Amino acid sequence: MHDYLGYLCGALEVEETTRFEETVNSDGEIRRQLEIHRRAFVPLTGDCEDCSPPESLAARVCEMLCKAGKAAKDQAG
Amino acid sequence: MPEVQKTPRTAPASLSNESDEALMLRFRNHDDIGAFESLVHRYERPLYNYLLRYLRNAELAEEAFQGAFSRVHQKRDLYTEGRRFRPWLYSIATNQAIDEIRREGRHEAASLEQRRSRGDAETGTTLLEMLEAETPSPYEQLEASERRDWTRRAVDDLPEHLRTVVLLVYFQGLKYREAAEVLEIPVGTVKSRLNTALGMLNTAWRVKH
Repeated sequence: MHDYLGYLCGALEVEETTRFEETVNSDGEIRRQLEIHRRAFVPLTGDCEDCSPPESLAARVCEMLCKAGKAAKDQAG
Repeated sequence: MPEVQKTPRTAPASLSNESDEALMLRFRNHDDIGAFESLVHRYERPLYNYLLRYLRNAELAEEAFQGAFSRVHQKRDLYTEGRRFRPWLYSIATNQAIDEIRREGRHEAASLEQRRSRGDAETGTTLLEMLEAETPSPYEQLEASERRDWTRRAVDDLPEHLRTVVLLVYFQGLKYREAAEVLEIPVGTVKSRLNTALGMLNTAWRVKH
């Protein structure tokens, strides 16, 4: 049983992906089935774009946690 | 006196090729704050978007992002060598998101107003703004916007255990094995949940179209 859905959304391990691709390349029926399974994701494709995180989110989090870490060290030392 | 411009902290470039696990170990073993910062920057966009989709609220997503990395910072000693970082982080972030929901008590009451505050400009795009845009056409933008809203509603309407699998595997690109680690369920259960979720989404899609 081939895991078409797992392959299409990149959920397979590297070696599983390689094995699956070898099968796809050598079997026309598997290729046809793959295209049919691809349609299963159509309802999700409307929301494919990621949003931009708030400005400097990572930088702010780093700064806050570094300060908290230093304060904890000072208190302990 | 002119205002001093603060340079935003960014992750050191020298660490950009290191694996997540190597960075986490550097942070855990040597208190290498640069390694920690690299992880925060590396996951800024994907983790924020996961939390945004999970919580449907930009403010809560930001709080959960901060909370998740705060836990990583505090609990660094619990990170064990050989453990994959990404599922560990997403597991912490998912628990953080659940805590945010409990704290706010907003999960079931996600209102239209909250959906608007997801942080993406297009949700709040006015028809006038669409008309003023050069490409794509206003009709195409409207269609894309309607389609996006439909997808979001349809995913939000899935039962929680199915929705989380869709968010982790489809939207975040986690491997089955990683999603199984995050949710502490067997890989087979992740696969069957994804299958069920896609079945439900396609049924809804056919009804709509």
